[in-house]
This record gives sequence, structure tokens and C-alpha cells, in this order.
Amino acid sequence: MLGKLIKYDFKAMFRSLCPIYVALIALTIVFSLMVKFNFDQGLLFSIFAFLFVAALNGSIIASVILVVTRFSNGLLKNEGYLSFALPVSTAKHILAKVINAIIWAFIEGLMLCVCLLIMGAVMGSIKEVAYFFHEVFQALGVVEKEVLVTVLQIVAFLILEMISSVCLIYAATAVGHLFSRNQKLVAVAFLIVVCVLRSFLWVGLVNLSERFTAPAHVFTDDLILIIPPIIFAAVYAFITWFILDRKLNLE
Amino acid sequence: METLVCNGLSKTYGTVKALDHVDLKLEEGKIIGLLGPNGSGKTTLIKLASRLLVPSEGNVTICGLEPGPETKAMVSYLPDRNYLPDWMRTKDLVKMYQDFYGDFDVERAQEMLNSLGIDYDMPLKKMSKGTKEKVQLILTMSRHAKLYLLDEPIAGVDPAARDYILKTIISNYDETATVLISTHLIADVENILDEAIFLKEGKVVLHQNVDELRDTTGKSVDEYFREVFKC
Repeated sequence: MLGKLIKYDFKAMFRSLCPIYVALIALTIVFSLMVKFNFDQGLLFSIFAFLFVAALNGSIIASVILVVTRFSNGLLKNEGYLSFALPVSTAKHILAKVINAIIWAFIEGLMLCVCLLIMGAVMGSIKEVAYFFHEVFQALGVVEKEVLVTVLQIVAFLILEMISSVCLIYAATAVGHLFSRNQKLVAVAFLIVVCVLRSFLWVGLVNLSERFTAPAHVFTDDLILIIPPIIFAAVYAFITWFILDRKLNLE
Repeated sequence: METLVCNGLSKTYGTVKALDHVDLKLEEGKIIGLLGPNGSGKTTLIKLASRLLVPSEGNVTICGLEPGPETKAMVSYLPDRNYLPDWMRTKDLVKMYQDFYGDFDVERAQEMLNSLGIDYDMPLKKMSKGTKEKVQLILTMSRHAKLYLLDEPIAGVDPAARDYILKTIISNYDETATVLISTHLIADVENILDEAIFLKEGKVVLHQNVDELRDTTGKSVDEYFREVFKC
């Protein structure tokens, strides 16, 4: 059932984001060709440059907005009657939404890489792009094991922070839904309060451990740093689950 | 066998008591009208049975089970509003129901959609309100469920569509299933009902076989309802 939930959520996001990604790639090609053939002056170039930057930023903003609206529309508005009538537990609904958000974050990152590759290939040449990757992989091959572990820890930390942030946004949306009026305002207020509290907690955690006082050691020595985002994510997910499972009243 | 049982079921919204110690036993193979004026608790009772709400007091069971994923697989619920994503096409929705509900009968759904000439490729947002409601009802009634919870299935549609909806309900529910229809349009549904439940201010004031009700009161269900709920 979880896979099916993810599939239908993915489809719903895809229909909104696909046109944006197509536009982004098209604009990347046009922009790169203009630069390559020295059409990099004048009003037309300025318009395309503006559109390119707007599409680049727009795709990131659109992904974030869609992740939030998919949660809100799918579970807290009329569509919630369909979702919650399905033979699926509330926890699976939330998990499906979190996984979907992560999948789209990766797709967004992938699209940005594709754009960079297109720019490199059009402005330079395919050979240069291939050479660049060859160099990167060679460098990775000679990198020390310790550095690689550190990089992996940072990546794990960033992914967990992303999951934690997604869970926080869902919890804030769910908290907002408890109120009959000013739901968005309450959600934003909750988000701000939790972010402030979380910052204090982070500072406290860092101060508690002398080992964390040297910033250079923060990521290198301790796997312990990936624990707080896991705890935060679990707390936000529990808040979301509790509201959706026990307090939800769809209107 | 009892399909739905409520024991002292209550639901409070803040200080407002929407359901007040409701005791009910609904048997299989019956079409039951859940009748009452607006705000009497009909939708709340259906939402509790669908596990869209949790009780403040008491409990409700479906085929002996507390509401949850297991009972949702046995309950076919039609909400009182447009609840399907309007960007989806009819064929996507049929596939979706087939994916999630093991008891969904694709052939039955296709037969009903064809008989109404509903375009498989048309997104819901391009359909009229009445057609959307028919699609929703077809999807709901295409399941071989143990319990059908239909919340105001005929409100807001024209009389011809009402006849179609009621005919669809009668001809598509399984004999071992229970159908609970919430409505305040009693005259339209009374001919198909086996039993009637009157809800008033969150309390059950009557639960009786409709033939017995007509015999004992000498009135139709609609006439008796108007008498009980006279303003």
C-alpha cells in the first residue's frame, strides 16, 4: 500500500512539475546557445537570461510549495475524504508524503545538474564535460578514506536535516489545521517558534560537548551529530500523526 | 449478523455535542435511512464509522472490529462533497480504486460508466456537478463492500439523476451488505428503505422497520418525519 500511495502522490506532483522542468531545460539550451554564438547582449538576451534565472529559482520554489500543498490538499482538504477512506494507516500516509518529498528533492537536484551539464556541453563541448567527470572520479579514487567518510557523514546529515525539515513543515500544517481560522498564520508561527527552539537546542548540544567546540571536528569525529535530526524528525512526525489520527476533523 | 454496532457513541466538538450516547445495531442485508434535519449528527455518525473521526465516548464497531485500515477495506464510503482529485480522469480513478480496494469490481464500474456515456478520458474538472456525483457513486457502489455509507447521495442533483442514483444503489449492493443512507430528502428514498433511523440533536429518537412504522403511525416515513421534526 505504501508503494501505491507514493505512486499516486508522485503522479500528482509530476503533472505540476513536469512543465516547469521542460521549460527549465528549454531555457537552459536557448540561454547556452545564445552565449555560445555571442548573442549575449541586447534586450532579447536580457529577457532570456531573466527567464532562465526565474525558471531555475522557480523550479526550486515550486517543488517546496507543491510538497506542502500536496500534503495539505491530499490529507486536510476534500481529497482527505478519499485518502482517509483508503485501507491504509495514518502513519503510512505521512511516510508516503515524506518519501515523496525526498524523491522530488533529489529530482530537483538532478535537474539542476542536468542544466549544468547542458550548459557545459553547449558552451564548451561534450568532451570537456566528459573530461571533467573523468577528473572528478579520479580525484575520488585517490581521496583518503577518512575524508570520504566525512563526506558521507555530511551527506547523511544533510539528508536527515532535509527529512526533519519536511516533517516540521507537515507538523506545522497539521497544527494550523487544528484552528478554524488563520490556519496558515498559526502554521507559520509554529514553524518560527520550533525553528528558534531548535536553534537553542543545537547551541546547547554543541556547548555540552567539549569535542564540538572546535568546528573543524564537528563533522569529522562524531556520528552523534546525525542523531538530533532523527529525533527532531520523529517528534515532528509524531505530532503530525497524532493530529491526523486523533484530532482531525475534515470540513 | 450485525454489520455496524454503536455503544454509547458520543462526539463533542468543543462544547457542542454532535452525537449523544448513540446505541445502534445495524444488521446485514438491509437498506437503512439515517434521517434527520441539518446538524442532527448524521454526518458525524458516518465519519465515526469511516474512522474519519474518533469518538469522544463510547465505541463503534464494523463487523466486530474497531474502525481502522481493516474496516476501511470493508466499508465503501461516499462523502457529502466532491472528494476526488479533479485533475484525474475517470479511467485513472477506476485504476486507483482497483489498486487500493481488493473488492473493487472493474467490470461493474465500466458497465455503469458506459450506460451513462461517461467519457473515460475526461478529467473530472471538465464534468458537470451531476456527472461528477454519478462518477463518485459508481466508484462507491462498484465495490463488494460489507457496509456502504452514503452521505447525502441525492442532495444537489436533479430528480432524474436521483432516480438513477437510487436504482444504482438498489441494484448494486450485495445481499449480505448493509447500506446506510443519510439524507433529509425522505420522500425520495423511503420506497427503498428497510429501516429508518431518526436522529435529533445527536440522539436516536427512532429506529424501526419502515413497514412497521407505516402500520403503527398510519403515515408515510416522510409524513412522520415532518411531524417529529416540526419547527
